[in-house]
Amino acid sequence: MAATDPAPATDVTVAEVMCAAIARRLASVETAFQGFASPLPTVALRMAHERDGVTHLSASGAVNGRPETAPLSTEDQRLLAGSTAQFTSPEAFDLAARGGVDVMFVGSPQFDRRGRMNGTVVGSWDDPKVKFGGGGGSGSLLPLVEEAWAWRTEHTARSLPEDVDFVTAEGNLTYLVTPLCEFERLDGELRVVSLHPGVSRTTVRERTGWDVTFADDRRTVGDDRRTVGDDRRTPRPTDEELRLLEDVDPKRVRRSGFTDLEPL
Amino acid sequence: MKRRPLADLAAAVDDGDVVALGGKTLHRAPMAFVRELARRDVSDLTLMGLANSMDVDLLCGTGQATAVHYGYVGFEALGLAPNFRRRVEADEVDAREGTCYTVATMLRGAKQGVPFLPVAGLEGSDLLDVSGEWLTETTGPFTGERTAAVRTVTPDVGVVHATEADEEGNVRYDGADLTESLVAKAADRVFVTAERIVDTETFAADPAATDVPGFLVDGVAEVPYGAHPCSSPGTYDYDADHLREYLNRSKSGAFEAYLSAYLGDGEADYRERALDGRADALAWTPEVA
Repeated sequence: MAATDPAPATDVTVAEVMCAAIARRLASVETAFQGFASPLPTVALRMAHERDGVTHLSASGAVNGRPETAPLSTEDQRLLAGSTAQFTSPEAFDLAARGGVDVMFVGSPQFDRRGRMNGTVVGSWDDPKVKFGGGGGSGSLLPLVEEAWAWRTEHTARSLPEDVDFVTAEGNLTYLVTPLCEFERLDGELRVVSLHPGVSRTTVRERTGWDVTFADDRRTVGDDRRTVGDDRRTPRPTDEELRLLEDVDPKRVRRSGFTDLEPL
Repeated sequence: MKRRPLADLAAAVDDGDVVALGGKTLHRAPMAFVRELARRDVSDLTLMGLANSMDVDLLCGTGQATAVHYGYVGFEALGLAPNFRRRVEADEVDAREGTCYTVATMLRGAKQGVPFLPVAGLEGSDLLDVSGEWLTETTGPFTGERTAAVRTVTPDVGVVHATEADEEGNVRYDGADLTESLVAKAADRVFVTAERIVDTETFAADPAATDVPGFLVDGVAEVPYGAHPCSSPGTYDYDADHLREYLNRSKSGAFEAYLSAYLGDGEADYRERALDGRADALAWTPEVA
């Protein structure tokens, strides 16, 4: 008699929705790179490597590392467990410089309407109100990688302003996922392409620092089953995706950095 | 024989030196060397690193660092670097911000003995405007195409923490090279702290496993827990509780109290104060704690 398949005990939160969304986008990507302070994208990359064989380059030096548990610090050398080779981050930067990195993940305190990122300063450089830690490799890499995908664990008008005070990096940022929605950069502007379960357009408008446009509004009504106001919804993770998430990230580091995570 | 007490190595750092630090973020930071600098009155240091955390932050806190070349200074998920932030906002530390790639390129320039190197990327970044002494746009001499370029900065001193070293300065660390190889090959003088000193035969038996050859190293000290509260991969994990205490005290104006509580007269004092009863909990395991 087959053992009863245990029901996935995982509570689904927006962290799982975001991880699964990124992992699905990664399915057709060949090579993706993850830097420091990136637990959520690293978990998504772990999923995409296990499920679709995506090559996962890590700033930790790991190539396709398969740690027992995903670490909170994404420079953690446990990422090397099961790694088939070592490839340091300066080598990954070189690879990006010659066009070999398809997707790079970037996190930053601020992204603006045009997909420019600020990891440097609030206020002016000469008279800073808040000095951030710097953008890591992004200032160099955003113009070099095929695509940069961004994520944030909070979605506020302050973190998503119309214009950033300082452009640490700009370039090929094509995607941003937040706890409310997914954006894609279309015609030079981040537009909402998908709302997470239970999120309304009003909430996104209220919590974004620019006058947000919704990609679905650009479709001809009737040309598609979606109509104005009937936005695409980010899918809930499937049971299989939830099992994979728990498998690669049993400590749930994907949930770090969020405030007020609630079961969905 | 390059083995020396840690204090002797740190005493070789002079006022005004450029000091490049190995490790990255919370891992393999040469914290014991940094603490030893903090116990001394050396000042006006320029620090260099691709992505650093408490090493840079602590020397900003003590006022000994007056400039930093960096791509990132912060504690990843644990937060911003409070002393670095405070000193830069007060214009007491010169933030020479680049990217991890441009700092790596600065060190590559030093390693190769050239005054500058071209580097890809940076188009559209305001960093080109504010870090013009180190980053610029130029054209190639052969084809005239646009490129960014990075000015070489040769560190007077490079500091690397390692798992093992021998008395000749050969170095091996568990895990991948983070920045150590660049730092050791770029700096004029290289100092190493190692969790343990082992026989030279250990290196001779497997030379391919040597991460930094001893002839590049000027001094080595055996310093157990020399990266604490950052990790020394393969030996111990980073100490999140200690790091949080440091961050909380630094943010609440109690940075000096942190120093008096832990610094002591040497690393033996530090270990007694910071690691009492905690060493087992930090021991490296395949699973993330």
